[in-house]
Amino acid sequence: MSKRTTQIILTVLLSATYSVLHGQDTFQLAPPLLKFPSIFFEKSVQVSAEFRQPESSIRYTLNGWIPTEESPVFDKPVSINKPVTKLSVRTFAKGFLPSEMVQVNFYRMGKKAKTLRAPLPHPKYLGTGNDAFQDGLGGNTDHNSKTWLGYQDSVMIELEFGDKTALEQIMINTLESQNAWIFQPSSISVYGWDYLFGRWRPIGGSRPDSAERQPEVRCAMQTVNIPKSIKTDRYRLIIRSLQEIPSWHPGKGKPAWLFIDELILH
Amino acid sequence: MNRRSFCLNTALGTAGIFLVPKVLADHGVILGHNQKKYKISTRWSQADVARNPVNDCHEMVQDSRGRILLLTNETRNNVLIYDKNGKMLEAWGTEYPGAHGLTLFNENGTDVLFICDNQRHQVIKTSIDGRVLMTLDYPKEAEVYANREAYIPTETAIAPNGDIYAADGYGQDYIIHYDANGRYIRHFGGRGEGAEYLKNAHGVCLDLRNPAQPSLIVSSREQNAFKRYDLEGNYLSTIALPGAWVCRPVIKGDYLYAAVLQSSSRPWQKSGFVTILDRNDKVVSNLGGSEPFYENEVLGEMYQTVRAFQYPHDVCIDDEENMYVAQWNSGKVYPYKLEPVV
Repeated sequence: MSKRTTQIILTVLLSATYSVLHGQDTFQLAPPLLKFPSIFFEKSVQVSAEFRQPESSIRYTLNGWIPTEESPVFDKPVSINKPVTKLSVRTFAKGFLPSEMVQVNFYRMGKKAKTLRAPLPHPKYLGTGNDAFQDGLGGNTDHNSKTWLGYQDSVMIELEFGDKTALEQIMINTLESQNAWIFQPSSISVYGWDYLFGRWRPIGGSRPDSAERQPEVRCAMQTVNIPKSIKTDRYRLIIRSLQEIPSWHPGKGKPAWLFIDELILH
Repeated sequence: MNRRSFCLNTALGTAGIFLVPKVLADHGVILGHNQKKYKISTRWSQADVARNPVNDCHEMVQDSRGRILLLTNETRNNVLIYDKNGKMLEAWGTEYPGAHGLTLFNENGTDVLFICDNQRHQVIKTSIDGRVLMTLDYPKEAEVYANREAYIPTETAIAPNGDIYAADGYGQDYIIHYDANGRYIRHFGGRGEGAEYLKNAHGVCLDLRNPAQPSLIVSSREQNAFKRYDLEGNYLSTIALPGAWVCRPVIKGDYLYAAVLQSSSRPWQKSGFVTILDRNDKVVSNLGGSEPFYENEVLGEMYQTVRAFQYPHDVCIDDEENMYVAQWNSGKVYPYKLEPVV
């Protein structure tokens, strides 16, 4: 063992002992303030980050990995243009524990429906009306934000495109805020109008694990892949709200809220 | 490790025992900015949790004997009295389940307390040792309350002449003005569209820093602002504090101090800090929060940067400029003490 290593080990040991004996506090940093117009974009979106704490740095990744002190420094706006990008950020400073990681997913918008029919949301959460489904606005986690449409029941949405198209993927951005009784949908079914047989044909669906406990307030993107799509100009989505809140929740047995802010069609 | 290096270690170790603490002591966690920096101790309270438990620690004051009083909604002991070193001196109070606001007033040389109880819907005036002197029920005379439950007082401020201002911070957000005997005079504030209205009027204090123009400062917590009124309740101005859910204003010397329950950017995620304003209503320091910055005289959004606090609810500044921080819903922690760094 070199003299220097010994010295370092001793210093660390003594520091630790001192901290315990003298009850010195070690604090964690908070995550940075992220600023962006929306998580949805047409061509690209500029994301900036701020953290006014002396001698600190914000580090980020765009590949889903946990940022470390070796990750790039977030000191100027980051431009995002890929179809789906997971931005992960963390703060670091000497003398503090690094912050928890904060992740935000950004989505490039897809094809727009010519007409969209949906039921009226609950009067308290009308948002900006049916336009909200395809206005490219949303992604914040405040359920009182005007970007969210809130429902207390299942939602049937009908889309018309004007020309025949084969949808391969449908993404529905929902909110999960279980303390506010807002859960992910229990299931999603996608139908296409089959002109040959003159009926709605089931072409895809998903079953999110909506009853699972999630302490964080977050956006939950529901992705439905349609491997065997049909060419049609009319689609129907049935997004079922969770009918009974699970037993671990104070609202057990009661219907959950369903919040939606955007549909992305590819 | 050979014998020689062992000897070296021992020598280093012995030296270390004397050297390291000094170095570390100089590098303790410092919070705040500019002329208002503090060293924090989370282990100030020496209260025995088995004997003197706390629930939410809501507000703190210092009495004229220099003691530090804490109000908690734990009905085993609603008021804990400490010395400045954190030693428990005494405790009293079992009948305040919604103990929320604690204000001290020196009435002709005698300390008296005003407790706001948001479950009893009352303001209770007591002696310093807990004897009830006056109880104010919901102000029927204001003709804005359908019943007692609609009135949920959170905090009081007492004018030099003894007039009482009660903030209905969890009810209808009115400020109720009484005379020293508890006779209703007027009410003002309340909710509405317009600068003179309030949302979550959580705290109130008297600002006597300018003797020529005494005024009231009221928290409008959900609007992230303080609002200033004259003593008759006429609205004067707004102090915008973007991002900060400010609890009651506390004035000591030239400065105004306030616990910030949480940051608007991270609501309900234990994102609180403490803010300090100078006598020109400019934020000069945030303890555990972002360094304040102004662009064209407009304050930029503030937010937590260091997780030193969870949900701070009140600050108390003692006669030696030390700060005590009481916290709501933060794992039943006792108050922290912060000493100024000069």
